[in-house]
Amino acid sequence: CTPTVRLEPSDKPIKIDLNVNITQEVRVILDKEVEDLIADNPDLF
Amino acid sequence: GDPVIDAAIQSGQVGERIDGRLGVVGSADPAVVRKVQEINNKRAAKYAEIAAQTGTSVAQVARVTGEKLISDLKPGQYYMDASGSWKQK
Amino acid sequence: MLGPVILVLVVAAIFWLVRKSVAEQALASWCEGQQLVCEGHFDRLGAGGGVLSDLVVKSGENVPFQADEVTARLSWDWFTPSLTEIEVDSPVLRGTLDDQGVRFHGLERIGSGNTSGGGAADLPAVRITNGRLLLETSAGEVGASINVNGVFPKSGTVNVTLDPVSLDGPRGKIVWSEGAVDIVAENGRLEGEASLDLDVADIRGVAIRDADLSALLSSPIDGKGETRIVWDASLAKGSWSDYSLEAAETSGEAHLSRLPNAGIDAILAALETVSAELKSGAFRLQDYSGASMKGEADLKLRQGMFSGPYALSVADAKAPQGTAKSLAVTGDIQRDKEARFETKANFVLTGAAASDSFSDSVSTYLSFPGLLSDHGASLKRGVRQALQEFDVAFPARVTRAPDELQIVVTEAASLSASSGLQIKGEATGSAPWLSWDGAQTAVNGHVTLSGGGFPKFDAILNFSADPSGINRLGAEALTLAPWRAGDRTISAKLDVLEYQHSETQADIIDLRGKVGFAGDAAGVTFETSSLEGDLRAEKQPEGWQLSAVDGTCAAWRSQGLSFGAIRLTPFAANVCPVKGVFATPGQDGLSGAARLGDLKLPLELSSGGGELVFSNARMDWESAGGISLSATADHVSMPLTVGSNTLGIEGDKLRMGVAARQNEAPALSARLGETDFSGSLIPAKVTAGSFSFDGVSATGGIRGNLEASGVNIRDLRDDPLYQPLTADFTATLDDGLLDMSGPLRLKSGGLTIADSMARINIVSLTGMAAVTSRPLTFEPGGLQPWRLSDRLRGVFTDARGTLNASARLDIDSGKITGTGEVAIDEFGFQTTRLGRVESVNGDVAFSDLLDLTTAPGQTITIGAMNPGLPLENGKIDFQLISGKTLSVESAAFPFAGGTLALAPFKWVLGGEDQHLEVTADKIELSRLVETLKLPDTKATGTVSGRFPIDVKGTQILIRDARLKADANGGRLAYQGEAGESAAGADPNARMAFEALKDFDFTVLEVGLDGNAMDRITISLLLEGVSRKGITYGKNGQVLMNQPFQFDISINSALSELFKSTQYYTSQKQLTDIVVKQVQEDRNGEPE
Repeated sequence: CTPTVRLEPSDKPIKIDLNVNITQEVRVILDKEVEDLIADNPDLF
Repeated sequence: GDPVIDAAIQSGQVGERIDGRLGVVGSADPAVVRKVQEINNKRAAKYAEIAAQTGTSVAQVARVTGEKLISDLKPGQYYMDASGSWKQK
Repeated sequence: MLGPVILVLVVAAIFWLVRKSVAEQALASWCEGQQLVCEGHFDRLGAGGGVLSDLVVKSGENVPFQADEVTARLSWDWFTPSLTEIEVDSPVLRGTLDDQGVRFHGLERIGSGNTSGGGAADLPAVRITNGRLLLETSAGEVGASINVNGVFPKSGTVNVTLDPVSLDGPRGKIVWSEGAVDIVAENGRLEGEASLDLDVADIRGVAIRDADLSALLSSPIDGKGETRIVWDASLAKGSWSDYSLEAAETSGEAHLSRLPNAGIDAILAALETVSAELKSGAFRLQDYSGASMKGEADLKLRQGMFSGPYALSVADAKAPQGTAKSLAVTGDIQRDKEARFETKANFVLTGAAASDSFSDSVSTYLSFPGLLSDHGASLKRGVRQALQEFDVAFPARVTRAPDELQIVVTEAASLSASSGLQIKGEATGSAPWLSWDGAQTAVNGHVTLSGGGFPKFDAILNFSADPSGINRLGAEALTLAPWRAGDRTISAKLDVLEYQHSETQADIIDLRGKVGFAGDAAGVTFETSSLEGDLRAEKQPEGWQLSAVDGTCAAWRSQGLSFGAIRLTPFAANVCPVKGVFATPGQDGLSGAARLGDLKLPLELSSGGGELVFSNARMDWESAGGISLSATADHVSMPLTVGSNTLGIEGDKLRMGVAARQNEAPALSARLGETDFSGSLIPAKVTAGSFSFDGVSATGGIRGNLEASGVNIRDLRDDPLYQPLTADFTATLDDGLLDMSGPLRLKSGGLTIADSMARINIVSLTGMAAVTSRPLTFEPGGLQPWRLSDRLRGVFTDARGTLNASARLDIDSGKITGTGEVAIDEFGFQTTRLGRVESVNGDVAFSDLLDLTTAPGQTITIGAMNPGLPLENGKIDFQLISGKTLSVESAAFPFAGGTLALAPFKWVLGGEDQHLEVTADKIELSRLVETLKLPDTKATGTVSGRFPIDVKGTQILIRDARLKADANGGRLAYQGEAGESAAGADPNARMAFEALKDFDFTVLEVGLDGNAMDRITISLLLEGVSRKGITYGKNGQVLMNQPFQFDISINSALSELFKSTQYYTSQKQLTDIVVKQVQEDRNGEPE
């Protein structure tokens, strides 16, 4: 498990590394939109 | 599609890129380059629209479109994959 | 006149007296038979002869013969006495001397009358000693002593010595000092010698001074038969009626058929041959005279007719026709029965001068019509001047009859004048070279003329004219060298020239060959030009019609012609008549038409030149009030050079008009259908549907109005700067200054986009032009920038907004520089990297328009754009260089309360990669949170910092941007539920999010790294204190004012962060939060 730190109120700062990774699986959502896009704009694709 | 671009594609001057943009393979005369640029501008507008609608990023829409377009290419047509180099179907 | 003839009469008279045996009676009665009265008495009359004394023979009161004593000796021959000798002592014979010669008051009739009987043979010997001959002349009595001795006609001598005479009567004066006649008779022939020394004679209009005559006579005793007279005379001065001679000498020999009596007709009748020579000083023959002359002739005569060679030379001859220093005529002369003189002689005159009347008569024909009047005048002057001093030689036949005079120069003649004029003529055919009969003049043969101010003229002429004018002028092989008079020069080289004038038909001039001309005619200046062909001019009521014999074309060659400022340099053309006619006369002048086929005219303008190439050209012209000419051509091309530039004009359906007018510059007009302009003067492909020019071609230059409609302008560059335009221009041209204006429209769609004007001196190619756009409103589907220039395609896609532009071009001897202003108003367009750029405004000044380079410090404001980060109300100071590089001097966008500014950078338009240095200044976290639409987050404080961005393709890579909070820190609070879910899973995360609920930071550093268009890592370095207590540990201990040091990195699609959409707010976004490590920086005692 992750170590926990015992901490008394003290003047020393508590260092926290925080990594936030926001990903989103868009493939599914976009497939349809992209197909429509290609179909609707023959002059572009 | 646009006759100039179709011709350029047939002659292997222009190809689809994975990032959803048209790209110039090697060199082409200015009018073709500008047409490619214009089409990319118009595609960017469409990508931004879809990105906004789907809460995704322009790049993601572009990427998915790119992948789709490349998969639909006929043999012999050029495309640029993630490696950034032009290949032929 | 004084001839020795008198002698013969005397002898005959005496003979009769003696033979009559009957005394005075027979004598007297005989005398009465002769209307004479004879007195005398015979002293002795014996068989052997007799002596008659005091013989007086009277005729009226005249005593033609008187003698003291006449002795005669007879010899009888059986019964017929024959006179053997007569001796007369000092007889006195009286007679008269006048123009009928010598007469003895009728006595001479005896001699000549009945000569019956006394044949020559039986003439007695006669001896007259110191006889006296007294002749009554109109000036008084002339005496002479006479001695005769001998048997005539066998032999004998007669001597007559004239007494010196000095008679001065009312009717005349005669003075001579000496005169003698000696006659010897010998075997039937008389040989006489006479000499006379006459000092003065003024008788009945005849005046003679110092005349010496000596003559020899030889004739049969009875005067009938071959008589020869040789004479030698000299005369100091003589004149009668209107003849006069001075210092004259004559000698010669005449053979006569018989010894004539003294009458001229008689002499003439008897003359058979005369060979004489006459020299004289000053002389006058009626109205001909001279300082001296020498003549000689050998004539044969018969019944008044004579012929024979002669030679005459006269010095300082004067005649009605003129004078001559020397006149020499050698030839022969004849006179026929009808008294027609004809002489064929060679005339040579030197130092001759024609009289005014004669030269007038010669020059009457020499006046030419209109255009050639100067030449006519110059010819007249030349001829008159030549006729003032010239030498001339010609063989001629002169025929003079009572009612006829004809001069015919048969073979050749040559005249050379001191003025330098030389005329040579020679007959070619059978006709004489020149004939003149007082009225009709004709020349047939070769004539060459040159010098004396005249060009060389050479022709075979058939010319005939009468006082009324020329009725035929035919010429073959006529060559006339260039002849300048006034300011015109003509020349000719003709095979045939034929001019017929007749009362019945119209005059016709046929002309085959080449005629040359130079000079001004009808307002056009022709340099040496020539027209060669087979032409016919026919006189019609209104003037001359010029047509082509059997419709042939004429060949026109010219060194050039000019009217006003236009000069057509050397060109040639085939001029073909229309329906066979070149020019027809009309009331107000000639007009005509000609087909010129394909014609190339070299053209010289005051500022350059080039060529006018017509195809299927046709010309119509008329000359009413100055030449006006209209030419049409299917196609014309004008490759011109203007200064050092070239201008090409190609047009169809040319209609060109030129009107030369009296003392006005020639009017010039031109119409062209489809026209194409090219050349360095026109920096574009320009064609026009129609082109027109109306103006004048003044010497200063061409002036007038131009119009070009349906003009198409296309930029010739491979990558055209502008799309094809159409325009309609109107312009004025004045002395090289072109002042032009007209609207410009887009060829496709026809939208009028601008108004153009130009004021250029096309000679020096200096001037200015200005193009002012109409307000251009762009909208997707409507007007788009690429419709103005394809170069804008891909730059401003799906544009919207209005643009006003104006350009000003300065042209300095061909070099074009231009400036321009572009005012943009609410202009938006789609890009690939900056998303939709919206409401751009600004005035951009192009310092070098053609190079698409602006002045530095151009400022535009940008409403909004989104290079991954939504930026609004930005201001960019930039300079566009050569349309390719955007040198951005400053670019700043207010952002989240602060500003984002780009360090100056050069953006290569269309380039793929670009490095940027961005400065964030005093970004307010509270606004940042708002902008980033971070949910449930509040923050205060400002951050600043610089970070580089690399744009690669579509990626905008933020290279490890570090934004530091400003000195006085700030406050951050995140209330979002994302924290709870994370806290639930990880105690550290819970503590972290609890701290972040309200955190005062002294140090905040925001880091950005990654592709703003795609995934980006935002890192937050926070040092500060949580305002709230932090529950901590298993037993929920609460820490107050606990300092924390956060190192948060968020990796997400930045663009997603900026979206406020339902997708975003769903929690799914934040599921993957990992708290990597919590570390207490105490004395390092991890639990």
